[in-house]
Amino acid sequence: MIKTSLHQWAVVVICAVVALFGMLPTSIASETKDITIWAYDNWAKAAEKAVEIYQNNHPGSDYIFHVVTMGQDDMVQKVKVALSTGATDALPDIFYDEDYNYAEYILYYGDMFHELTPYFDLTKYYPFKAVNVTTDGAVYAIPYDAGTGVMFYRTDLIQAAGLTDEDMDNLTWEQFIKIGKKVKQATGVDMIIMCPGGDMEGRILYQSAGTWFFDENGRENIKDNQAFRDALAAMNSLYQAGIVWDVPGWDDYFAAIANGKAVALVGGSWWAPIITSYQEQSGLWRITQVPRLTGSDAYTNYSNLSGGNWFVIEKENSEFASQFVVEMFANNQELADFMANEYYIVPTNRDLVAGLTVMPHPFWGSQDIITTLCRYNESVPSVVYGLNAYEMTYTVGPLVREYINGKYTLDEVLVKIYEAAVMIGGNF
Amino acid sequence: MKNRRLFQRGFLAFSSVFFAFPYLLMLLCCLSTDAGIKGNMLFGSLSTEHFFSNLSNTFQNSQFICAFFNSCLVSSIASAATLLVSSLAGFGFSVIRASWSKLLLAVIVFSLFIPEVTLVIPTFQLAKNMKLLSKYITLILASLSIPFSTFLFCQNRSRFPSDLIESAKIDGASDFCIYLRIYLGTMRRVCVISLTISFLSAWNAMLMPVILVQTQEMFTISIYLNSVSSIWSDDYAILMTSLSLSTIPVLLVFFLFQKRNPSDPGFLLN
Amino acid sequence: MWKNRIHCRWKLLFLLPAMLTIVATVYVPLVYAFYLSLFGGRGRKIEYVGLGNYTKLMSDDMFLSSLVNSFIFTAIIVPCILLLGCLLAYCLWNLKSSAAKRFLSILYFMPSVTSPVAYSLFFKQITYSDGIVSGILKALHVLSDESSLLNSVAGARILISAICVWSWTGFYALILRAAIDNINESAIEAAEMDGASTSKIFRKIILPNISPVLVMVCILSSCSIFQLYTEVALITKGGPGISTYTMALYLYRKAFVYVSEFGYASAIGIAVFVLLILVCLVIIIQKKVYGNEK
Repeated sequence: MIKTSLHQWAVVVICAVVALFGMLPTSIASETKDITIWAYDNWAKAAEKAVEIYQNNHPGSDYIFHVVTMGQDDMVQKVKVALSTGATDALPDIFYDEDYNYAEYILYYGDMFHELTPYFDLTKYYPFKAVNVTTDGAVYAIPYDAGTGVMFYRTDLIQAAGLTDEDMDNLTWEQFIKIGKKVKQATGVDMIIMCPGGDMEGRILYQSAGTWFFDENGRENIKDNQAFRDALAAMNSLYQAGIVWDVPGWDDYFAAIANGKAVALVGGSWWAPIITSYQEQSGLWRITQVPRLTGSDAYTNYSNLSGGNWFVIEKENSEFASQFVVEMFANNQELADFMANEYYIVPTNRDLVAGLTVMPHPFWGSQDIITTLCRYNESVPSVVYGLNAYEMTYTVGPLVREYINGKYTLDEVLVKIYEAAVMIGGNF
Repeated sequence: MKNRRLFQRGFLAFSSVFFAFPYLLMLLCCLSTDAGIKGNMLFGSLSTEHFFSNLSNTFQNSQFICAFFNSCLVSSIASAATLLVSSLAGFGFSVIRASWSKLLLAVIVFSLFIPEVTLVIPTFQLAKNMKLLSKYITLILASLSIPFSTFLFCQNRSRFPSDLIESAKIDGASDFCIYLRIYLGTMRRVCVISLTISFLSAWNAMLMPVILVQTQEMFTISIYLNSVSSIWSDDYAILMTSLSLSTIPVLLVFFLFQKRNPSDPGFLLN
Repeated sequence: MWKNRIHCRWKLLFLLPAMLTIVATVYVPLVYAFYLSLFGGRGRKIEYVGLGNYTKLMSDDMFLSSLVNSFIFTAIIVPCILLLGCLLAYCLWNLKSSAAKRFLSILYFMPSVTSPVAYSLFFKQITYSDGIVSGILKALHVLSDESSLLNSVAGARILISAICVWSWTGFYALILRAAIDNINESAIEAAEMDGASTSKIFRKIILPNISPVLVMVCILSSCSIFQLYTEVALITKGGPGISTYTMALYLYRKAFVYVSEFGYASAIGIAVFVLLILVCLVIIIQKKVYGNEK
């Protein structure tokens, strides 16, 4: 009996102690010379390399860098939650995020970001990047990479159908379908992997036509938008031609590439390191432009998907952080060479592109894809993404899938997308 | 008669396979490599060598170790706190005879029906405004399961008959003494059950903790696994090993509970 | 007299920590949720809209689709749990060997104590198009070579339902077994001696006696289905199209993934709560009506 009560008292005491302990702040008081950088996947590697190069160039610097790698969804959620608290102590000094989130950050939390206009020259950058880091003439992020829209394809499967690499250049979607049918007949393999639910291909098509869900003022851009209509019709025609390897989600792309389930993949240039990780397919892949829509001269073969920028938060060290970011990500040739050759992340700063040293990459056969990517970047149409890009994507994606499945006609689905755009975008 | 037995045995066997196969599969994946799992060559790539390398890789992952430790800490404290608070309340309900006590009990049990989903955003806003985000106390408060435990104690009221109270009072004991010495002693079984269930629920809690904890050092296992799910290329074998390891404490606690209360589900429904 | 009063107050103290904690962690947030739901707007620019969020909810396609999904899941999952749970409970109860009883009880209960994040991640890995489960299904010709389980609406819903059944049935089987334990054994034994088949015993003796527990199982599992988040968020992310989109997922996305609309998301939360209460009431009323008929 006494033993029981001792146990219970022990429990009470422990709880009390922990309650007190729990009230203490858990974050380590940051020293004044700490710089924290948040990034994900290969861009975290860019940050690490940048820190390494910086420390080599400035051996006497007493700033300590912490590069934190997280999953992308996780990092974005943390950034948004931290921003909503209104306090910058939960935020890093520097972080990397996609173009799509820029407008939201600056519009709602602009005072928490450090303005970067005086630190570098924006005119060196391609217009399609520059336009998504500027608000009312002030620059709030360093443009870093572009998810240059390319079509990756298996040259061995193309050749098995009697075609050559030249036949894949500068196509329209109709020509692509013709080739697709030919290749399917010869090899039995579907021509293209697609996942309408994620609207990845959709976004590439919209930008290739120079259009987007919303216009520069944030109003819906669906009604009377011929380009949007043509994009949806083109996606549907791919399915009607029976040349699509349809996948439900992101992970299935990996499996499809690994197992050779499709000949081509239309996506951002950040697919390149993923494809090269399948060493056994070395020499079998090439890149070319995205096929273009037909019906207008404004439609191009170039696009962009999920490029990103570096942001600096307004904290004690934001001055130094801005200089660091500009010095490394905007001006450092060694970093640019490293990232381009290791991870196919080509710079979008024309000066860095001019001085780029390209190493041979036998994975892509004789094709120099890095120079090709740089060349493509010159022609990407400029589109202001504005707010709510992801919400629109995840709403439009399922609707496009239902359209392709035949549940809606093109006119019906356009009405639905219009209604969604009004509900999502009109609240601005 | 025989057919009936056969049917029942067959059904139990089939169910056992249904319930057990994910665990078996997970264990098999721990014995394999990333290439083996992805390339669908699971059975061809099993070896204990892979198992040990996966294990060592998992233990080298400092984030995982930190999350594991945090989970142990938070779950233990949350379950102890739940036990304390709900046993106090259970005792209170046993001794109070007034009719409004039933109303209070209804209020407590009704809170079980309020979905966690509804409470996520206001809890987040309140914690944010009180500057309590990413603190251990917030995590512990969010992992308590007081309503269910109190319900358990009240359900098992019959184990604590009122004549015990009477005889103790005649001996001159105060209420708190009765609680400490007699109530907790007679309700020992329920205490163990309450500890177990609140430990399990604290360990597995995800929706609230993910929102309330923003710093990596304070992740619990559930939050860590959730954050890992969106990383591009992950070694599946190491991931499976992490998953297996993260379920072990829960199963341990559960087995310990089973040892003390063998096959007695009656507690839930007196 | 006054001694009695003080005595009573002293007893109140025992209830105090529990009441305080529950009010602070449940009821205060609930009221605050309702208060938040009266405001619209995004990010830090919020404005009072009264019940505007609720009228917007009623015409919101995403929300209505996720509501329909919840009902579809309920229609699939709850009968499976009831059937499987009852059968398991009965067969376990009938088992003679107590070692086997214990072992099987533990085995069936294990999924209920496993972390949803852990098993969701695991199931995600093994069910995508080249996973082990897909391989087995393709070998059995249930799945065609071209597709993956997650690519069809029916496939994704069945997968999520199967995972929920796998995870929750053990717990409910435990409760049902306790209920069957309480039934008078001699009635069942007499029926068995008379040669009644299992299904007859079930229908005539067992089911009527455990019907309150069955109602409780229905209510609890419906509650869990309406709050379904982890499984869909990690495995199907809303499913092909929006076929496995749930209200909890929509709430989380609206609040923490898209441009944060805490007011609207709180309205979704309150709507889930109200719907839950309605569903529980419907189940209870149905049972009363059905019970009265008998």
